[in-house]
Amino acid sequence: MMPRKPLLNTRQISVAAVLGGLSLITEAFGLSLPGYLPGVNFNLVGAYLSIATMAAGPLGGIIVTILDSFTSSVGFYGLPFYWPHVFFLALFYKRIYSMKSTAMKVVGYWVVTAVALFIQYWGWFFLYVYVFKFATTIWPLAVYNFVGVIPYATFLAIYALIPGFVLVTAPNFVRPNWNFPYLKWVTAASIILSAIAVASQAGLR
Amino acid sequence: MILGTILDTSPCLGQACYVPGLQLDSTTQTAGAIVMIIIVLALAWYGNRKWRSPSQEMIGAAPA
Repeated sequence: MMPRKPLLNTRQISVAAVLGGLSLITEAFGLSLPGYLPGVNFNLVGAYLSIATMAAGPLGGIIVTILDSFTSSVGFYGLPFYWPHVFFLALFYKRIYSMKSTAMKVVGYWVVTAVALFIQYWGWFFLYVYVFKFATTIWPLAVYNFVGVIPYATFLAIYALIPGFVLVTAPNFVRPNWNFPYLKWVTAASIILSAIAVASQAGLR
Repeated sequence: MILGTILDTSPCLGQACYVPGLQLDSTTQTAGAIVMIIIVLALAWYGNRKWRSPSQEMIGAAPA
């Protein structure tokens, strides 16, 4: 019989717990960059969850989002809407990490993060329309974030700048020696579920 | 029931949920965010030195 391998080792659990704890504290004290939406700031959870996903895989990222949600200004409503980003980043991260050229690594990381963030955003539009009633459809939020550029660019910087710097300067800390079963399918499922949710608030009928 | 309680009480848009009455101005918020980022970088730097090879990745493993 093959010995069973744990999903996370001690180091990975520790890294996820510490980053999740830091994220919880950051949210609890409101340490974020102001000016995103009424009552919602540019929070730093993206930096924490990205580094945790790099070092400990999707479960690491998920642990961070759970701990963060205890003190997040959108509470546990936001929890599942981080996960498409976590899974998408994890899906491509090992390939990025194994690139020989530092420049290619950085470019690859920013590109994957930009796409992951774009995907993630739509689930949040659903949340802001369906739960928080910031608008009657998702489209004003889409225009504000993507056409207005600055909100998307700010979040992209939060999700990519520090984790990208860590990738280049502290590679042992974020070495991806984790495994996650059926990652491709789980990623696809999370994106499809998010798409269904956002389609329900697109006002297409 | 626990989940229901959390969902009822969690959204507190625009304020820090678990430090009642705390209202930081935007400069303090931004400065605090920068301090947290420095802490993360310090953690990554420490971990990078501690786990130089895959064999050292378990907590408490002796360096080679």
